[in-house]
Amino acid sequence: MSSSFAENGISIQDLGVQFGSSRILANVNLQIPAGEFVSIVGPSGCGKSTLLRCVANLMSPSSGTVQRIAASDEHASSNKRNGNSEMSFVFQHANLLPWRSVFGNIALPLELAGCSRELMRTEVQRCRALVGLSADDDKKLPRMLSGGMQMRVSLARAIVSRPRLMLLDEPFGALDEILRQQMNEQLLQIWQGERTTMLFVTHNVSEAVFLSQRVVVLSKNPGTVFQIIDVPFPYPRESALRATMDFVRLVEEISCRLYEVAA
Amino acid sequence: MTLSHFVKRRDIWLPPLLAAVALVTLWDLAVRLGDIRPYLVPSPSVVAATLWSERSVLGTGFWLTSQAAICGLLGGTFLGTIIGVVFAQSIAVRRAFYPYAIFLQTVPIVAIAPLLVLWLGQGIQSVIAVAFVLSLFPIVTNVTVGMTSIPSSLLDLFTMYGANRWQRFYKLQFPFALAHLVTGVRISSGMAVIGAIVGEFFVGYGGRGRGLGYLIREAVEMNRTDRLFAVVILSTLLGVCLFVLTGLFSDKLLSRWTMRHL
Repeated sequence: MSSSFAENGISIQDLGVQFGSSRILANVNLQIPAGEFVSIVGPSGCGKSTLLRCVANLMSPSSGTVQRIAASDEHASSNKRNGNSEMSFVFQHANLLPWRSVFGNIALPLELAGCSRELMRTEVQRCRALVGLSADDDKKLPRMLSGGMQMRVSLARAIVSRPRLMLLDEPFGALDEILRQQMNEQLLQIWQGERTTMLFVTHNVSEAVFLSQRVVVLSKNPGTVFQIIDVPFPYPRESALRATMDFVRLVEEISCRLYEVAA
Repeated sequence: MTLSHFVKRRDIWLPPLLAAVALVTLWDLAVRLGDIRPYLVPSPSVVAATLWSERSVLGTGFWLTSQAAICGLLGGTFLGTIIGVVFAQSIAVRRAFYPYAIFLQTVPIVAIAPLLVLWLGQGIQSVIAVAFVLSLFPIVTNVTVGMTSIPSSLLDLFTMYGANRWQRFYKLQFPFALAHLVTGVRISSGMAVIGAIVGEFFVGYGGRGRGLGYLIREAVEMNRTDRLFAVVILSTLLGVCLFVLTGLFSDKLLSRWTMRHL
């Protein structure tokens, strides 16, 4: 743990991913301090999801390293007892277990960590409120829920283990615009409440600007960091921000960068 | 779908019933007007009379064959699930043993049935064994497919939260494969009836009576076409009963398993 990022955030160094002869990612360098909200945008096929999977440790890079938040040993053992996890991942679709109720799906991370039923109940209750679900939904099965509700369950599951890092892979891509904006505001509330580090992949520039402190633009063939753009707007951010001239201008500017790298 | 629900759904059971009435009427007319000899095609009324007058022998046969078919199906479900679970554990295991599982499916059952009788002796155990062998393969394939076709994002989820091998099996793979297992059982229910009847071609039940398979052979040897028709109708009825039974069971079990959102 020589670098301070290893203790406090994520440090991605010279990351490269190669499948056979095709290079997906090359020389990706990115430092994310603990507690920051960072979005990644890029043309489709630029390796956004692959980068996220590397950070999640779901795949290992061909070259380079990813250093993640590392809790001390003492911290780690108490984490295990409380069912806390280092990271959580929100997938493009809700990714729920169809045979489990809403409660069973949200509680899954705690159940896998061997937590008590009591703890599960209190934690599920806490997260349910944060994502806008009610106690009446507990017994429902995923197939009875709309796409938006399913995504809320998925989000609740991702925060139930009080992760220090949340990785989100275009979680709201399938939702309509109004619902997407609602979920964005809810996600910001969660972030401010839990002080989680957020790494958010999206193809929607407006969403990236609204949510994050920094927007990373990836180029493709192979995917690498093209530009990192600071988003100066203060938090808490309200829906009205989307209508301001500064917001629109920044979205326009980043969209131009995206056109450049896609060409 | 529950039974009472089924009774209410006239659109489901009325068409096949009308089709049956039409077919039987046509059959009756053809035999009467076409001057077809009764030893080739007996009229429906003759078959019905045989069904009634020999109800004791036929009923015993139906009962014995259904016992053997159900036991074979249960055995096949149990062992087939275990084999499927083992197959799903690694590609190497699958590659090594799958060809031999296919053997079960492709070997002509009439060729190994006598062998099973030779090994297991006269009696119901041999009939069950033949039903078991036939019903095994669909279960093995379906369970293997179910266990290995889990979306990678669900597997990733379990990896993220550090699930151990047992949790992965018990909370993800097995529940996921259950829907496939039930499909396998439905396919196998028909196979088990065929297996039991083929088994009875070669072996009796001693003093307990004669199964449907034995009655088929007997009817052929005695030139009792009416009886043959009666037994064929009962065999079909047995297959349909088992299929409907497993269907009701699976609907109950799988009411929550709809994968629509995946």
